Amino acid sequence: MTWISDKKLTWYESVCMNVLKTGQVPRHVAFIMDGNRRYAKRNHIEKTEGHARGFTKLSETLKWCRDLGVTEVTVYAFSIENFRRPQSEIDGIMNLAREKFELLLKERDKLSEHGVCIRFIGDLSLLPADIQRQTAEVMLMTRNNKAARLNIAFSYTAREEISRAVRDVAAGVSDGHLWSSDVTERLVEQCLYTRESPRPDLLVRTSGEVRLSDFLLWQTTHTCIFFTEVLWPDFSIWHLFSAVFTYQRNYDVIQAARADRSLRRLQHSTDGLLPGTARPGDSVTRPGDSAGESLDSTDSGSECAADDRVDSASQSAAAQKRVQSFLSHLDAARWGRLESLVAEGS
Amino acid sequence: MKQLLYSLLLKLLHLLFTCAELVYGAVQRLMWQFSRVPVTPPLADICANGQQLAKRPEHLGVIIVEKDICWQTLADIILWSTAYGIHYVSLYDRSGRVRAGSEQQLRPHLERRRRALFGAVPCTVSLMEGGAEPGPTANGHSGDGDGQYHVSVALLWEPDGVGDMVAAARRLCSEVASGARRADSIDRHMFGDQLRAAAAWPDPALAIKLGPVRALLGYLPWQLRLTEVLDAPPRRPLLYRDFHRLLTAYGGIQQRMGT
Repeated sequence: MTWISDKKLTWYESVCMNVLKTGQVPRHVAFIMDGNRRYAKRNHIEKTEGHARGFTKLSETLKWCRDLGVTEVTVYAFSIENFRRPQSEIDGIMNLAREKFELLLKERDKLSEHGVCIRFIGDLSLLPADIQRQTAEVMLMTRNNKAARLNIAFSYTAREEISRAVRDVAAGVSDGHLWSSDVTERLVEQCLYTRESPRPDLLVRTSGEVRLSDFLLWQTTHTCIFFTEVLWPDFSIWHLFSAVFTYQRNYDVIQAARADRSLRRLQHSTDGLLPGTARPGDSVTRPGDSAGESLDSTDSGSECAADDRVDSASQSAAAQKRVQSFLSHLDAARWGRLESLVAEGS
Repeated sequence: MKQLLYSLLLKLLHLLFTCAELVYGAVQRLMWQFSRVPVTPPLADICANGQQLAKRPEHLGVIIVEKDICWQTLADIILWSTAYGIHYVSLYDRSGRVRAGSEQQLRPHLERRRRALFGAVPCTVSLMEGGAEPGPTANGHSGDGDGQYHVSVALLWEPDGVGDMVAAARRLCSEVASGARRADSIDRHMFGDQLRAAAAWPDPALAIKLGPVRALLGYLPWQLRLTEVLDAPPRRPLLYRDFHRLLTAYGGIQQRMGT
């Protein structure tokens, strides 16, 4: 049992993968791994065994994503709402989590070899103390790995994430690090758990449900969404190929919508300058300048860059400095909390 | 050489899919042309269908991701929803075409279709932009309808999504800066109350997507938390039976709420 599966593809799977890779491949794929319990019921096994098979499927799926060239994966492993499940089931899931997170710690070398950075996103303070320490240790252990990133949403809901980000920004204003006029979409996004990550290009939900269930609501406004009936433990490489093919077929229209959005935000920010932003004499780029022209290219990574240009266009140099200083301070505080957790446990 | 072959294969696959979609669409349109259009049932039957649903959304979202807007479809969805007892309908088009066309296009269609379906029965439709106050209704009555059938319709576009959340964040930060609020008072419950798009409305329990794009393109992200998203069939104008099937399908969905 491993997080980094080495299972080889069959020749026809390889051929199909190589064919798909000549087209647009999503850089960041998010999964709502739904259906473990229904799988367990259908196969007359315990729920915890269903969750265990779900983990095996996750490991396989991560391998397929790596082979496809997907550099970032976010998975919805446990929602804050799931704490309402029977205690016995929660205990089973937490025990499985302990086992798998311990495995992550043991596979440090393999993670380094593949350059995988692991990030746990969610309100981790709701988890048992030992699991909090494990997650902190894994994040610290892999923070310098840069080739790929796996975000595990554990004790997570999008509304909690967004409101926490706004609270952090408000705290920055209260402490004098920020002005209220410094608050932009990009600033709030950089305070979310998924900061530094490009927005998901593709979201896959299994088990036939057709809702987002409070997952990455801010980040997936312009994401290709693929709903499939298959239960998560039965998810196959062919389902992943279908999802990527669907992404390719929707690529142009979604990218056009993203570009349009970025341009509208740039026009809005430069036409109606917010108080406390650019002043006479400050340089402000406008549509048609280099910022506007480069908005044509809007894959998920350059969309973040485009958002940065929107902020640069509308904010004074002083505001940008305040924002950078605030974000550095926030980042340092978050890593400091993780280091404290690990230190407490050792 | 292999790469070129793979690339050609992929292009061929996409071409085949596109051709299949075009042929299927053409055949469907031909069939619609020559088949008898099912007549929309009378109001009493539609109301009875609505009563028989296992569950009805309090707020129905309509997400328009198609190139051409079918105004009759939008008018019909609003009126059928009214007959079903759905009191809130949000129409979302990211670029604001619905807002821009509400006077010249939507209202005339609403009035025509309302007369055809409701006749002399009072029906109040309040159109509003985002979280703005309701304007005059389709039948000329004021916003305070006292008829049995009434619906509020929010005309939404992209700034009503993430933009609304950012504006709320800015307002809260201004209150914190002035000392009127503490930063740690901000949680997910109070933040939701700060949003202005469809303010004080229940979250949309169901969203019908009009168009083939597999994305929601910015529709009310905060409110979308538990929204069931169903795709409408491609036929325009949408038939009543298709609307009923969508609502019936919604009625059969069970939400486990995390448990």
